[in-house]
Amino acid sequence: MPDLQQPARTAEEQLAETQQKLAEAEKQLAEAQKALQDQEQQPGKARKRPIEGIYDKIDVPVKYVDYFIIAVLVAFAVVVGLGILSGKGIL
Amino acid sequence: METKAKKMDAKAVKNFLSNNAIILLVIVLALAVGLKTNNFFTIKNVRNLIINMSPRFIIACGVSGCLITKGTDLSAGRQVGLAACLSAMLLQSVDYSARVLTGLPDIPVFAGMVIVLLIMACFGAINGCIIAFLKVPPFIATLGTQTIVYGICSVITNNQPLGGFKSSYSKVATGSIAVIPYLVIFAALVGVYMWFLYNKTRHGKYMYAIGGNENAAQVAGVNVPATLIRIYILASVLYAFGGFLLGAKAGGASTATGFGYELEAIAACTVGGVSANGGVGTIPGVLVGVLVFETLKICLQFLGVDPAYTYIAQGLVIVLAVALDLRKYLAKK
Repeated sequence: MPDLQQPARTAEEQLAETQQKLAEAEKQLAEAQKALQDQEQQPGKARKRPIEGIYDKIDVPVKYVDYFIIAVLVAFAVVVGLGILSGKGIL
Repeated sequence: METKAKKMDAKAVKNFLSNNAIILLVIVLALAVGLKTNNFFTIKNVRNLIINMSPRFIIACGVSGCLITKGTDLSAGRQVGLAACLSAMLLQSVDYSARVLTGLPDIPVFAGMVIVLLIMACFGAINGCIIAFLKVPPFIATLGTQTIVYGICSVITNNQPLGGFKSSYSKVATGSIAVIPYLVIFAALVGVYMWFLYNKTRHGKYMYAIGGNENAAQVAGVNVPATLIRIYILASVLYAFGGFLLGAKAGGASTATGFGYELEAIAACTVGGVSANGGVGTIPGVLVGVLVFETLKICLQFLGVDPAYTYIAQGLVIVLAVALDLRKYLAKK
């Protein structure tokens, strides 16, 4: 009889031991996550730099940028024209 | 199949035009001015163009490093002004009646230059530390430094223009070896050094890595704060050198020296393919950008454009350069 009960007890003990290890690992994981969160909240450590690329947040269709470029080119031509007239004293 | 090929060609042409719009615009403008006037395509004019370009190229090289790391340096122009004033104060002729530092003995030009470079490097270190450690956006940090530097310049010069340079200092700008002016030689040396630094050294690789993705660079083991500080110190040293040469070239310096140079430098860099979004840019590109911007200015002068309108035209070119840069980014996205 004792021979038969021995493996069952060992299995139960092993299960309890594994559960205890698992609980410890979970506890450690929770502590590590908390430490990471604290570190991220600290100024100047893991915080991202404020400028991550000035165009990153711009989401405009390319055709609108094309229209804008054409408008600037037209404005440039107009300004040069006006400047020449002003230089000659006509304006 | 043929339609597809035509579409591809049209797209390639469109991309080429949008990537080089300002360069093409200035080439067309230069050709028009050259055909309209007799003395545009002359050796004298080209020589003037190259001499004007030299200090601006040195300054633009400094700004390029900041732009590649997604930063900027709005204090560049004022630092150039302060460097020019410091050089003027240190290198005034001993027998000049209105000498500012009366007790100062006559010092060699090279020593004066080194002193100015060292002083200005401190401002670069301050900029770098504010940006790297305090994580202040470069736009704000350098805007603050710009005002501080201008204030210091006003205090030390008492808002008076400085002149009466000793001949050896003036000769830095007026002298030449054979037909090549010293200014061009200095700019060429700086260009070669910066090209080597950007392409062949660890510092250059770190710089592009930070510009591409700062967090990834940090994870990969790049010392981001140290690299940023080095970049801003080098930039300030280059502004100082540019200011030193500009003072010698102008034969005088005042608090107004270098005004607006930062925007010209940023515009030249952007025209030359240095993306304001970081991670992209070359020294030959910066050279092309400076050449294009200076040619534009000369073209407008030759066309007889009213100087007030010239500023508007230059501003529009800066806006155009940024819009084209944004277009490139959005097209890739």
